[in-house]
Formats: sequence, structure tokens, C-alpha cells
Amino acid sequence: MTVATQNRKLSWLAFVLGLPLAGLGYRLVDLQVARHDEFQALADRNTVRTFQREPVRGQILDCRGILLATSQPAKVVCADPTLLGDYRLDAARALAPLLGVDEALLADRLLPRLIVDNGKTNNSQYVALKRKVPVETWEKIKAAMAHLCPGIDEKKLSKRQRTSLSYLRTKAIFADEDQIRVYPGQRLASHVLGYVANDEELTGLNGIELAFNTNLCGVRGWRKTEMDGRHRELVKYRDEDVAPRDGLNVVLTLDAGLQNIVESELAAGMEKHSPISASCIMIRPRTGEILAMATLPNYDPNHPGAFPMEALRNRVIADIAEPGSTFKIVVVSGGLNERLVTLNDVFDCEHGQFFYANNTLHDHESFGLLTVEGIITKSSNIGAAKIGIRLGEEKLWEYIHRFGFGERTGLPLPGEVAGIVHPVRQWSKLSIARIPMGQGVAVTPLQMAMAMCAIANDGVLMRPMVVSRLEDPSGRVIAHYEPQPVRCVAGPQTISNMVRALKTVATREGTAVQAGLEHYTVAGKTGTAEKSENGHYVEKFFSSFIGFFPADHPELCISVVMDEPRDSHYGGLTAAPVFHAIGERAANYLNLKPDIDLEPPVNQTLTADGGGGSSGR
Amino acid sequence: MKWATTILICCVAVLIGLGLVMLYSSSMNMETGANQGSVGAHLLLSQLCWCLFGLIGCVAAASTDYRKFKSATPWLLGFSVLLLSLVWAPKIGIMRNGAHRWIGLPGLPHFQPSELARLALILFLGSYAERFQRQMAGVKRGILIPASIIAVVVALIFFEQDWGCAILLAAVCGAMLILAGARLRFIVPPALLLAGGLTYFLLHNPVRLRRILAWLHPELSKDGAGYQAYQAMIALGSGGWTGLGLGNGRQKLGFVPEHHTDFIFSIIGEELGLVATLAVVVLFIALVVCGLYIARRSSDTFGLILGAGITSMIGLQAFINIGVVTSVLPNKGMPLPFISYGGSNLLLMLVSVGLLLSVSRFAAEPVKQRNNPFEAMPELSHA
Repeated sequence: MTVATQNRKLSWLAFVLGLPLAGLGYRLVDLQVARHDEFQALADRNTVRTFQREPVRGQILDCRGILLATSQPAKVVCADPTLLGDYRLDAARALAPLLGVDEALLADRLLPRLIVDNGKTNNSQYVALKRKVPVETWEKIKAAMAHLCPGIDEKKLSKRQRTSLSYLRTKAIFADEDQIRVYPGQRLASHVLGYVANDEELTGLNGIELAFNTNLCGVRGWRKTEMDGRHRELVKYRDEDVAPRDGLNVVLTLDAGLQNIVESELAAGMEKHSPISASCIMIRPRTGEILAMATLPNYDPNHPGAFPMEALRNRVIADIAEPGSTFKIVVVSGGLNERLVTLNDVFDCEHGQFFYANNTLHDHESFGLLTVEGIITKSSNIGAAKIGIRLGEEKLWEYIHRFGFGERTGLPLPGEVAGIVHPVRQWSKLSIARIPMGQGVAVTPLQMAMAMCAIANDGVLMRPMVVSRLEDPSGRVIAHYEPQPVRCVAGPQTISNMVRALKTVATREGTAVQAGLEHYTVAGKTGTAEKSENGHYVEKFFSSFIGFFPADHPELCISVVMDEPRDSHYGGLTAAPVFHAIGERAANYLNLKPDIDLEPPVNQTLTADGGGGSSGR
Repeated sequence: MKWATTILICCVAVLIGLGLVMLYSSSMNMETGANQGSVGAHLLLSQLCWCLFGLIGCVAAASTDYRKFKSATPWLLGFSVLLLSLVWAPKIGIMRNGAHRWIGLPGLPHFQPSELARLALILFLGSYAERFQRQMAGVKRGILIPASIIAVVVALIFFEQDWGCAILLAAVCGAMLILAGARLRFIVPPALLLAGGLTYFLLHNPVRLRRILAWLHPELSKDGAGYQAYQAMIALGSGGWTGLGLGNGRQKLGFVPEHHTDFIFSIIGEELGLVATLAVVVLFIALVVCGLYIARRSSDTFGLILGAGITSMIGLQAFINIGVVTSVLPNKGMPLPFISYGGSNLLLMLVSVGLLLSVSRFAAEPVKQRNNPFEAMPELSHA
């Protein structure tokens, strides 16, 4: 063999070895540079994960910081059906009692399912079994899964079977973060608080939860990070980590103590008179702050679905009715303010029968001559009608509007209605006589209470407030809501006369003697409206009492409304006693300064029980 | 001559250095096993020990006259065939993943006899080719005897389920026989026969058939048989020009299996980028060129065949490994010379390089005609 042949062969060998290597170089350029973006995306898909970081929904607190609604961490229990395999039924048997679901149904959900993703069919590896599972239950589920199938002798299994068994016990059932809305007070203030949807974000569906949903739910954060092949986070590569901003706390003007007093006394009244419903609003007249707002029947916002729809409605703002005699304050205020009448003007109340515009108006009792003050005291319909006639349609309409009827009060709760006040051109001949006594208009209990508050507040109509401020989770005030006057409804002389007249209602002479308080002078007005069905009045009544005390320096205005009380329909007999009970306890609770000086020794006054105040009459 | 050895040594040194660095980088995040401690450090230490042994072997081989091994080659081959058959022996042979590739004697690290057999066969073929160099064109001496010896060794390796090594060795031996003067018309038919037999085995071995199919359709099998190769491509591709930076590779974190042994090249590509991968390829090409240059300059046929055999073994192994990692070739477990983790292979490679150096030491100095070494190359190619 010559050197030349050898050299040729060696060159060939060098060529044969070197060329493929050089070819690989080309392949590397293709992979690493030309197709870099494509593979970069695939590599990111391997490791890069973005997680939502759910904010904690804000709390709802009363004015003293008592928790009314809060969020607690919970879990969404999920399953990976592909890991369950043959042990599906065992898992279903173990989990069904813990999750509180039907075993057969659960076993069905654990069946592997095919999903189509990007045109490729895969086995679904994610099934949410139950949301809102408390953390303690989740711990039990984990323990139950870890001891699944105790009969299996692991030593007899192959390596593969052992791995799948350990996956089954540790990874087949897993949990995502969730939160659960808890209302510790259960039914307390349920209509104000509202409730939330049972979804991931706890969307508010009613009440404050709905009205302040955007403030309560906070802002979602996220984390962009990377995971290794065993789904463990690589903290080093945590790119973006934006903490969620937890929801703001809503601090209400409501006082849980007063709310409790209102609800318990209302419930007692409910029991006594068994109306369809009863509601009560307690307002601080000077500011318009709502201290308590209750409607019975109520519901437990922890389980709103378990209650009928009627129970969910906040009747205080969502229901309208003819107000009845309480509405007389409008016409009398109007008459006084326009100086068309004085308290001492005398009206002939026609002994209970007044023919007007081809109709007969009635009083509940026969009255002869009554002063304007007497018309309030005795609640004479005919007297009110005559004042109304003297005031005139335009002025009457103006005062109705000044007192805020026919428009929403602006309370930040969903579902408020404006009521019905027809414009003057739609009035009939009779309207001018009927509207002053509270017929032919429809108002919400809140509108009526706010109108009474305007009288208690020196004639300034306030916008009702239910939210005092918004705080961030650390307690810093984000927004503070100030009392908002709406307008002045009448001059100071009018108001002091009105108060004088209203004080007489809760006396022996008046319609609501039972509303009187032991240590406070009460100014108020009863209302007994006959309900109409299909345009005819039926023997069903809407009884109410709205009053405030101490009459000359009002601290509280309380409105009690009962829909169709069964035994007696007069507001003075049904609503007034409830007003009395609530008033006594609320005044005690708030330590209000009495304005009636009683002769008995001071120490006895101090120890007097708020509930037993009926001895004052 | 001197530049060839210098470049050769530099290439090997750079490759080993890169290998050690990448070994630690790729294994530092691995799960700690029963022995509480960093797996990366443990593997690095073990590889360093083997490297030390390998360097000793390399220096020993380089300082010895390779011609002295000539008479010992049949015995060495016989011994390695014995070791190869020992992998089937009870207690001594060790089976991992269904392959009988290792023998383990008490107190000694596990050893892959096929590594020794490769070198022994190359040495034997070298001495055989020198001894019968005038008869290599014949049928008996040129093909029958060497082919049957090769067949025995290759078959033993083949049946211990190390197909890649067997194919590599067969190819290297074929090249050596051609270089030794065996006629192509005697080499090609058995080679074709071998290829046919291989195809038959492939079609009847579901594991390998799946790998072949996975190679043909990487997208379809990326979650199954083609997972490793697919993930390796992702690793390489995401590296780009300069890579993610040393230690920043993601694909080693449970995505590319065997990322510190057979697939370490993908991690090099991911962490250091095209710059490093091309450098590795260039280093291997340089190594092949230098090795073949040394072989050409050797003073005797033994040196020529031996040098060419060793060089083609290193070059071919590198090609197969990188080819597999870049999905140019179907998946086949084969370490990347000097870089992949694996003691016996590193030892073999270093001893082989030592032999190559020994060949160069005793090579005839070329007649110095010109000072420019690059002008010697055309003479090499068209002479």
C-alpha cells in the first residue's frame, strides 16, 4: 500500500468524520438561532406559570368595630382523575361523607374525561369537586387520602404500582385557595349587609355587599414565576410578584347593639301582632345616620338560598305603601310654614263624615271642632283634608317634594325605589283631600322616617347614611362620608310648632299613648293606612309609628312599621308599643340624657330597667 | 507534529474542563438521595477521581512506546472478551434498566467492560493490520478472520443491549479495515448484511422501534418515546446565541432526563448558547483532524491504524451523541466524549488519547520543506 493511497484514505476518513460534525454545526445554528423563538416559547411553557393572587374580601363593621361580615380562607377541593385509576370508588367512598355529597355522584365526577385542548385530546387532570370547603375539612380529606386502601401490601407491588399508589395518596386530590364569607351575626342586619354569590370572587349580590362590591373585593394580584419538573416553584426566577390589594373594610353607621335591640323587639312585636312583615329604622336625626335598620322576616346571609325571596327583600327601601296618617306632618308643616294656619286655628271635623267632591271622608272617631294641634293629636283625616284644601294643590305638591317624597333618598343600598307622587295635573278633584291624610301617594318607610327626621332636625332634610367610612385592612381611613343636608323643608317657627303638636301624640290625649317613654318626651305620629287591592280598600292595614326623642333635642328617630297586623290595626296600638320598647332600651344603651325630671331619687332612676318603663304612664 | 499534539491536548483539556463545569451546573439542582448532600458535588468529586485516574492512564500510555503493546493485544482482547461475557455471570454482572452492561467486583467501582473491549479491539486490529498488511487485500486475512473476531466482540456488546456502542464499534472497525488495505468489495457486503440484520432487530424490538418512530415524528411523540429528544431540542433552542447563563438552565430541572450524562450537550446549549455548542463541535473537528494527522505521521502501520481507529471512535461517538441531542439521529444512549458524566468512558477516552500521544511521540518527523504548516495540507489531500 502506497503512502499516497493511505493519504487519500485518511483524507476521506477526515472528510467522513468532519463533514457530519460540520453538519451538526449547521443544525445547531438552525435550532439555536433560527428557531430560537419557537423553542423559547416551548421552554417557557415548561416552566413559566402565572398565578392569580386573590385578594381577601374586605370586612363589614359596625360603627363600634364589631364584625358583621368577614372572609375566611377556604379550599376548593379538586381531583386529578388520571391519578385515581382503579381506586376511584375507594376515593369516592372516603371523600363523600367529608364533602357531604352523594357517593355515586362523586364517583361519577371522578371518572376520567377527555378534553380537547389546542386540537389535541387529553385526559382532563382537573375536576373541582367542591368549593368553599373549610380548611379543617380539607385537613381531614388529606388525612383520609393518605390512608386510602390500607389493605394493600406495598411490598408485593411493583415499583410502578408503588409510585402510582403514592401519587394516588398524595396528589390525586388537591386543593386550590378559596375564601368563604362569614356573617358572624347570622341574621343580624341581614338586609343591610346583603349576601354574596358562592363563586370564586364572592361577588356581592345584595345590600352593602353589592353596593360596595368594588371597594370590598379589592384588586387581584398575580405572580409570574417558574416551576421545575415536579411543580415546585423556582423562587429565583420569580419575575413578577404583585401582591393583591385586599378589599377595603366598610364601616357602617349601624350599631350592632342597637340593631340587636331593634330586631329583638321587632320580633317580639311580630309575635304579638303577627303581621306579614314588620320593619324598623332607627336614625340619628341630626346627621341622617342609620343606626339600625331591620325588616322581619329576615334571613341568614350565610345561607341566603335557604330562604324565600320575600325574606331577602329590604322592605324598608324596596316596598312602597300609602303612608296613612304619618303623612299629615307634611300638610300641617306646609300650612304652618305658609302661614295659612296656626296651631290654634280651629277646623270643623264634621263629626267624622265630610262630603267632598262626591265622596265621603271618614275619621276613625267622631270629632267636632279641633285645633290644628288637635288634628295632629287625634289624627283627624277630615281636619288634615281641610288644611290641605286651604294649602292648595300646588303648595301641597311642593311640600311633598320638599320632604323628599317621590324621589330616592340616596341611601347607598341597592333596590331603593322612589315611591309614587303624581304630578298635580294628574290629580283628581278628590286628591287634594286624600293626599294630606296619606292616601293616593306611595312612599317607602325610609322616606317617611327621613321626613320625620327633617322635623326633628330643625327642618333640614338629611340624606340617610348607612356607611360611615371605608378603611384599608390596617385601619387607615380611605374615605369618610359626611352627613349631607338635602334641603330645608320649613322654617324654625314651623318646626317648633310641629314638634309641639307632635309631642301631644304620645300623651293620654293622643293616638299613641303607649309610645311614651319614662324619661324622655316623645314627639311622633301614628299611621294606619288601609291597604287597597285592585283599586278598592280592603280591611287590611299598614300600621306605623314614627317618633323621635328627646323631643326638643332629638337624638333618635325611630320608625316602626307593621304590614297587616292581625289583632289590632291602629298604629297606636301595634307599632307604638314596639317603638316604646325599642326607645327605652336604645336610650339606655346610648346613655341619653333624660329630659323628664322625675321626682323619685336619682339612684332609682339610674338602676331602672329600660324594658320596664311602662310605669311612666 | 508539535502543533498537532498541542492542539489535541488543548482540545481535550478544554472539553474536560467544560465537562466538569457543566456536570456541576447540570446536577447541582438534582434531588438529594439517601446520602444527604449535594448530588452535584458528589458527582463532580466522582468524575474528578475518574479524571485523575484517566490522566494517570493517559500519561502512562503517552510515555510508553505504543509499539510495546503490539504483542499484548491478542491477550488484552481475550481478557476483555472474558470480561464481556462476565456481565452475564451471576453476582458479578449487574443489570440496570434491562441491560447487562456492568460488572461489579466487591470493593471496586462498577465497570463497563465494553469500554475496555473497544480499545482492545482497536489495538488488536492495529497490530493485526501491521502483521498481515501484505495479505489485507485477500479474502481470508483481509476479511474473514478480522471480521469474525470483530463479529464476536460486537455481538457480545450487542447482546448486552448496548446497541449504540456495537454499531459505533462496527463502523470504526470497518474504517480501520479499509484503511489497512481490505478491499471495499469485501467490506460492503457484510456491512450491508449487518445493516439488514440490524433493521430486522429494530423492527422486532418495540422499545427501539418506538424510538425510531419518535425520531421521525418528534411532535407526535413528544410526551412519550420522543420526550427526551424533544425536551433536549427545547433546551438547545431556548439557549439562543449566548445562552441563559451558566447555572440558569431550566430544562435540567426535571425536563430533560439524563441531563448530566448523555444529554449534557443540551444543557451546554441552553446555558452557554450557540457560542459554546459550536465551540464544542469545532473542538471535536480539530481533535479529529489532529488525530488523523498524527496517524498519518506515525512511523509504522500499527500507529497509523491505531491512531485512525482511536480518532474515528472519538469523532464518531461525538457525532452520534450530538446528533441524538439535536434530533438528527434517533435516540441512542451514548456519552459525549470527555464531557458526559461516566467514569469508565472518560478513563477509556483519556487512555486512548494517551495512546494517540504516544503515536505522535514516536512518529517520524516530517521532512521540513517549508515553514508554513498549512501548505502541507494540499499535499496530503491530492497526493
